[in-house]
Amino acid sequence: MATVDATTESGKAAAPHPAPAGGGGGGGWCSVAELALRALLFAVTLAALVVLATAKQTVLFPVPQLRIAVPMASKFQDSPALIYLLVALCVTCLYSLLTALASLRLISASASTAKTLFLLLLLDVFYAAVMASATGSAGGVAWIGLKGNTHTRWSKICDTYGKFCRHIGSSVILALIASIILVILAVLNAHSLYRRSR
Amino acid sequence: METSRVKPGFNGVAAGFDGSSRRAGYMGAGAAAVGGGRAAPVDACGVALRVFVLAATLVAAVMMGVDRQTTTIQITLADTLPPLQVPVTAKWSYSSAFVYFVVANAMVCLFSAAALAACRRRGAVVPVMVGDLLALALLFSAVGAAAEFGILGERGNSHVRWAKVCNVYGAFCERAMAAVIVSLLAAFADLVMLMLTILTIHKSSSYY
Repeated sequence: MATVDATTESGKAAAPHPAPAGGGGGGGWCSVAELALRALLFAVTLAALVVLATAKQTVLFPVPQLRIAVPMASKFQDSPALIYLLVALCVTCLYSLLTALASLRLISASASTAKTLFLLLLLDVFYAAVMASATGSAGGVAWIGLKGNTHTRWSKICDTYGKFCRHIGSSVILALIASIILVILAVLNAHSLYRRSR
Repeated sequence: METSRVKPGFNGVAAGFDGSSRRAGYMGAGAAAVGGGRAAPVDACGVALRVFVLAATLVAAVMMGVDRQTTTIQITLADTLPPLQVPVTAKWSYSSAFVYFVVANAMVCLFSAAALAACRRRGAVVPVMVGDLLALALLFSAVGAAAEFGILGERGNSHVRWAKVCNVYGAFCERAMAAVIVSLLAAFADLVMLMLTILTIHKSSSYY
């Protein structure tokens, strides 16, 4: 560890190219923005998780012949795409919490290690892919629920299960915001890693 | 590993040489084009992966675009009448998920061609990398949406009474799923390519 620190110090001394984008104090604003984005990512994924997990609605369907009403429950476990979204949101929420701590350490440490940046960048790209695929599949099923598909005779369900649909739709939109945040994080990290190259 | 400790004084060309000669086992002649001052070192592995992404997204978009099937189903109106033969057609534009899939694959294909044309330029590294990231997100979300639609067509969903349709349109479903799998391979190749780019940047970093 001591040799790594010595190498980074000498590297900083020997590579005197300043920040191209006018960042005061090296990567100061960059890492602060990164920490803020990670906190935002944690908040967004946690909100999406709660909204998705509480999406449950029971509707009474009247049956006139029998003079009774049959309760029909709709919950998110009914669709594999929504289960996948739940798992992806869980994993990303945990990841954002852990990496927020890591980037906090990056700010507090005087010499930010490029190895941590590199690992964070790789993981950011990976999680961006996971969140994008989860958002795509859950958005697809939510779209069919909202609009229906006349060609395959899949009827829309959002006129029946209104509250359920609102929960799912908000969760998908929050997941979309989370994947955009992950892409921005990856670009930021790549920027601060690229600044030290060449 | 020890040689890279003294790298901060070197410029990017030397770092590219060093990194690619160390990884020569799987890269072949990676640093063949480091001659000019403005030309970036061309990564043979990255170029091969990009060509693969280009070809695979093109194949997936075309395969989904030409996919259509017409079958006849029998409808019995009454017991005394003979059953009615009704032709029904399935094609990709009937589903919004498949439309998104085709558009996303075509966009990634065009972007890969542009990036392949610009891979010799030094200043194009950052825009190509950001574009790769966006292409990755686009491709994965398109694959997710199309695969979800395909699974819904194959299994149906009994909770909301969406019947399966793949027993009627068998060949259509198979071709659509093949397109989705090809596009998934392209998405993973894009991921690997992006990670190789990040690794190259990291190895030429002055802190490595």
